[in-house]
Amino acid sequence: MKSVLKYSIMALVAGMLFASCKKDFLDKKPYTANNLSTAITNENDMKVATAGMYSALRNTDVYARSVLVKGDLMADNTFVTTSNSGRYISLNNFVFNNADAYAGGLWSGAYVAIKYANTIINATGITASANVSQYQGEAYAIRALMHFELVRNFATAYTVDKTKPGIPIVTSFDQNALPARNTVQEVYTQVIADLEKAYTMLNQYRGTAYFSKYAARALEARVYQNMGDWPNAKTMALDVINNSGWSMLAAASYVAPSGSLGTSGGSATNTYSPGGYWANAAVQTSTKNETLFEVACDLTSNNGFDQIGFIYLQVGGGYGDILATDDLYNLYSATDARKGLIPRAPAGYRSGQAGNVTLCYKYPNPGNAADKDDIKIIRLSDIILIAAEAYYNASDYTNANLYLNMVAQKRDPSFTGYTDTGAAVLDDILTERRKELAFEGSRFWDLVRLQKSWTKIKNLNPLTSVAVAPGNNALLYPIPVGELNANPNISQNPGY
Amino acid sequence: MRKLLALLTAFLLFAGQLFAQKTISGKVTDDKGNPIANASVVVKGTSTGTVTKADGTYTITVPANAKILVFSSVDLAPEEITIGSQTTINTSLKSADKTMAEVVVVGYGTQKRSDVTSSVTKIGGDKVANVPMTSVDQILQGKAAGVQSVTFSGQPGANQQIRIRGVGSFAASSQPLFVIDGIQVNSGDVSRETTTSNVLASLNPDDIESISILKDAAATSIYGARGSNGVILINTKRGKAGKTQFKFTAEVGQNTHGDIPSAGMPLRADDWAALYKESYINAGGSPANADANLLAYGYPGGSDIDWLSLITRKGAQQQYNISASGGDQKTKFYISGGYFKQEANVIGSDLKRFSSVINLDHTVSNKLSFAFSLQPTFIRQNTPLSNSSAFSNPVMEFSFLRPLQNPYNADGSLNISTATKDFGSLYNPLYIVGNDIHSLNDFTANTKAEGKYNILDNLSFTTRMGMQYINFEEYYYNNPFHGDGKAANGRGYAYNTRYFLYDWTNQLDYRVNLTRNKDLNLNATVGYEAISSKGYFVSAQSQNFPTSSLTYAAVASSPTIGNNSASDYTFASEFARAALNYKGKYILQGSFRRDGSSRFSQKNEYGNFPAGSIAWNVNKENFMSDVKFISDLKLRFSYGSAGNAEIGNYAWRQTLGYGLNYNNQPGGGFNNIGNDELQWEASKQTNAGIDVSFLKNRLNLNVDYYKRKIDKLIFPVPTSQTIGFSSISKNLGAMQNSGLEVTINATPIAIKDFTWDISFNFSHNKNKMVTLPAGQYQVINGSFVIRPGQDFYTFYLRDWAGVNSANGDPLWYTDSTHSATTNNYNAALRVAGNKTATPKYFGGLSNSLTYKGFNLTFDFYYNYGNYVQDGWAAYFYDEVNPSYGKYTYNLQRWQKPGDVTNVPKLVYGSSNFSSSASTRFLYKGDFIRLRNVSIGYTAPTRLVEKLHLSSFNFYIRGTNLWTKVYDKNIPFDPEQNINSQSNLNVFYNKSVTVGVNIGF
Repeated sequence: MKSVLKYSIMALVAGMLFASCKKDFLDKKPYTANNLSTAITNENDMKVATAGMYSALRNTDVYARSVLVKGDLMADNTFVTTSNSGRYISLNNFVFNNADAYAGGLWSGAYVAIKYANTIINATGITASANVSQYQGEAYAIRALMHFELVRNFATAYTVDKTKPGIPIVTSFDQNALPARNTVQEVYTQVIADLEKAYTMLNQYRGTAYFSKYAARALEARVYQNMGDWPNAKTMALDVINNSGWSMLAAASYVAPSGSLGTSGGSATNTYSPGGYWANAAVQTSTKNETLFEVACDLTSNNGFDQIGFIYLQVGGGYGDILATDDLYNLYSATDARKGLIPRAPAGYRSGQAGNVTLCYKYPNPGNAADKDDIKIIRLSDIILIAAEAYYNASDYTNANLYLNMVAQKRDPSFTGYTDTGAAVLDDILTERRKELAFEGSRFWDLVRLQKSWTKIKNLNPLTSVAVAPGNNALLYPIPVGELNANPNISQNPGY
Repeated sequence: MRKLLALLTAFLLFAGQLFAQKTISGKVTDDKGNPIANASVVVKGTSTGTVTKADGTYTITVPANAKILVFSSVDLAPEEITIGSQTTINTSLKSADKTMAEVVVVGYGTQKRSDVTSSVTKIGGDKVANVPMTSVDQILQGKAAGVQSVTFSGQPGANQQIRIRGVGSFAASSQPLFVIDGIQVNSGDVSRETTTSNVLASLNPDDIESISILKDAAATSIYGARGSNGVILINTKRGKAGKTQFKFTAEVGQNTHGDIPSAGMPLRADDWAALYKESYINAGGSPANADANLLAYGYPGGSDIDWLSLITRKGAQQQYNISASGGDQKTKFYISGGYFKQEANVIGSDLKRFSSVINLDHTVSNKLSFAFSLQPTFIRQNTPLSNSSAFSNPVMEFSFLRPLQNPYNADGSLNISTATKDFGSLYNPLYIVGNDIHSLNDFTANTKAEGKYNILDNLSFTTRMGMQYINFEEYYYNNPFHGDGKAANGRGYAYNTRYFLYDWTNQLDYRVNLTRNKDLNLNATVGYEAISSKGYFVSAQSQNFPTSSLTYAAVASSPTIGNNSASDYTFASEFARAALNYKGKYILQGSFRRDGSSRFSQKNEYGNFPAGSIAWNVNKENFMSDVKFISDLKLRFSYGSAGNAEIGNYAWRQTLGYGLNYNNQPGGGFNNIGNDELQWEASKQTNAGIDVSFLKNRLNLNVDYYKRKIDKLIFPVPTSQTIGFSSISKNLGAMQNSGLEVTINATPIAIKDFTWDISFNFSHNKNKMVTLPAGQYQVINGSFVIRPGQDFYTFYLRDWAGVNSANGDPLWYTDSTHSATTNNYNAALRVAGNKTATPKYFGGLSNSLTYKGFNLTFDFYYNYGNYVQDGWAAYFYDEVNPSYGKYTYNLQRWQKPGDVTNVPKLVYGSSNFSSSASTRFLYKGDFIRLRNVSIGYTAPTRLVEKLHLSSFNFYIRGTNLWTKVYDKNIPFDPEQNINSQSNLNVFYNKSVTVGVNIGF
């Protein structure tokens, strides 16, 4: 009996020892994350959070591909070829349902970026410094950019009806929030306020991969352009043009094509490169050429097969699903450097596509083993054309043509320049914008904000198309079904 | 002086023993008079013993004070005989009462079958050996009532989906806990790149002694927070005292692809081209353009490829196992080595396994004993990207490729041209399988060291340290010329995944007679257990290879991924169980476990899981003694709780996670919303069962009724996505499984030389959601909707109304009463009808007929009442994606007004969503499969002895040879994922094997 007692006591003691170290035993912390509450306590933490924020823009359905693809595909620049991988069919057909993956991806992806921005903006207890001001300024700019992207994709254009439902404005984290849609006007007001804040806080140039003071200014110009607020658009655009130190490249540096597209034994071959600015996959860190802000993609951080280049490239493993329309191709004169960005391949180059095949070569580096294409979000030429459009709207055709020709003649040195007056100037500006910003997701928004009608080519063989007119429900993405299911306060767009 | 004394004493003792010994001899036979070889003869309470010879005779020298000899042999009831003055003791051993006397492995111990109060199914090792399948969980299909085991892929080493008594969770795992030799192991698919893998494939089924499937709370709640989905206990073979027995088994054969219904066979060239042209014209194109396009595809005059024959093959099947077991009363051993090789029916899919087991038991004294296990296994598995629409999945290409695409060039080389007629977007699977690498090397070792000390006769202390080491090395290589590696000029991936788990258990087992007459006794177990598991992951990826002859990443120019990370979890627990047994008639059992886990915040770190049960052996009552036809009757009832903690290791924490890098700078972001209120899912299960045997156990019937309610179900409650998260995990909602399990074992005929055994089981489970998070009427879960009162897997799809016979448009209903239809997919109503992915009934029927040495067995598995969704119909129906291959069923398309059919007018590149998800693509999942048929011959003892063997058996076995499918339109085999959605997996294997088992 004594031994029973002895061993029982031993077991008991062992059990107690065990219990006392249990607390540590049961406290397992993740290896790749920190508790949020203690994760941003100093300037360096904030820098790291800022990088994380930008990485959210690299989402496939935000800037890595879908937003840019949409701007051309739903307009008159591109179409999805018949033999395809199944991507972007809804955009090509101008038919969405509320479970559309591209709409859903943008909605959730943009709000993730806003969450990251808010984490930085609302961080407390960090010693103020120029760097902290810069990082928070970048966060304000990103928050503005994402709200702007959301409101124009999911809501009625400001120029059509600013009193319509916009999208929820989110400036802080509340896990129980079930926000209703702010009006379009409220969203734009918030975007402008954030960009003004960013402009005052940004104080350094960290390269084109980050928001700088004038990148924020340039974005503000674009926002005012979308609002049809031309006096402000002009002020912002001129601030960038005159004060930023950015300049456009000479035509020969902008595009310098080499090689050719051909077929051999029935297969596409390719030695083609656009050369110049568009073939360079590196971000700028000290120079200030063309790009005001771009989303960096590098060898380790990129979207793999979902890189935008693969949706256009026919060779090197690309899907090659999206081709340019003949209409767009025919706009470029033979001496226009930009023609090198939209090369035409011989018949048979694309499996299942009869006739000529016109390609986009603004993103030639998805298979580059050293670096990947960065996604240009704001370029100087766009801002110059905004200035031209602002002058046009002030009926100052001289200055409108001046700024318009700054771009047109830079790209095509043999071009004698636009000299139209009156409404024709706007047509010239829109044509130039279409040529300059092709494949950068811009065209659709020009057509929408100016309430144009157009023919969207769905397919060239057989030729099918959709006639798009203002009021078409598909001009607005559907609010994703997941949001509707979770948030009773949100309202759906018409037609879904 | 002292030394001398000790020596003297020893001598005296020795001499005393020497002089007081006596020799006993005799013969041991079975109840038919046949001699029993290798029966053990032991002096009770000592380690003195011997074994019988081949003729059943034995001779043993016993001390004079020896009182009782114990005779025992496998499968026979032990016999105790008082020695007295006789020198010859002959005895015959009777067959063990198969049902009630057998010992059943339960959590942290064993119980006599008659004392079991819970719902436990025992499966003997012989039922899982020599089957041409890689893992034991696969073999369990149809073998136990209440256990749904789904093989969704014919890939050798594929993960198996097992549900015990229905789906048990929404967000957490529904897989049961596996316990091997007392160790709570990591199981399932831990690979990171391989399409599917299975840790359990590392256990050679030939080394399994027994499997216990714990189903009700009385059995599972001692596993506390991990027991809710049921527990599968697997014990490996251990040595038995006696002559060393060698066993050799060899099996060879081949695997071919399972049946593919005619509706799902791809169209061949002429039909494919005809439908292409018809649809092109229907879309407004000109016939001339259609012909031009077809010509570009190589029609007419081009190829007409039978892709099925190209991507399938006759795969070799082999296994060889050799084992030795034996030892003496002090030290026993079981060692084995096995080789298993399976080439699946689809090209590029195979597995090789080299397994070994060393199990040792050593008794130091009456007080102290040890047990050791070492079970290292090496697996090499090749897995083509084998599900979904991966372009290099051969099964996907079987359906996606046009019959016009010729995999070979005129000179016989493989065609990788990207011309229109060739492999522009889709890949040539023959080239990919020949040139890419998708390999998995798995080294897994389970080890155990156990010590047991008998503090008293009836009180023992056991400490058990078990370890599981899993090392997965995955290597992927995509060639630079064709396929996924082309864009990067060749890609190599190396993923190293290591899991190390230890499980340390200390327990006290105590049994005591509470009354002097031994009518009432108590069995009690208390213990504590600590489990710690750490996963460690290294990933590397490189691209741009200089040559296709070297495939390792070291030669590539550009490393793109190089990182390591880890993830771990711990459990610390106390448990106890006590059973009161009155005369073997009434057994009352209670158990309790308190679990702590790292997976929850300190607010909810601990959970308590009690259970109680009672059994009444009615046949032991006096009033039953007259009821001769009932040989056994037991009633059982249990109630208790268990939990489910199988969620992410750090799910509760609100974190900022890193790895969100940008512009070559480290980045981090608020990545996990967390919830420190999160706690276990808690199930409460009631079970009522009856076990009854008739006619001297010729007919056994087990019936269990259960109701398992799972509360505090973890739900990813959808949030507004505007907060930057789409959901937050909360313990909300409840689910219930209730059902009936019936098992019948019968021996309809047992006459001289001929026996017929039947085993039948039937399972019915009704799953329903009880409550959802407040304010939520339903949760849409892909193709399913979760609503209170309905099955978890209730299909929620647009309601197909057929084809408008006037114009060939697809139609869907717009209201639940089917009064109106639309041809606008977006306007169609999604309906949650009674079509579910959950079968209403399933089970198995086994027959075994033995005549003299011949044995015929055939086992069926049946599954009834679920629907299966074609997850890829959009590509194979209508002409929405005209460049791809098409199902034969498209030939039934609408062509002219008045046609009544289910396939709409074919319109090239149509955007009418006719082939998008709808009830059109739900098929009845009912099937009966002949899982196993085998004919064997066991040589008689006389013949075997002449050959100096102890046993010889030869068999021919067919696996999955015949399947009856009840839906004539289903385009694939109905056995698909647990959620009944097809996913272009490797076809199931039909195998024919021949084998021998030799004992010597």
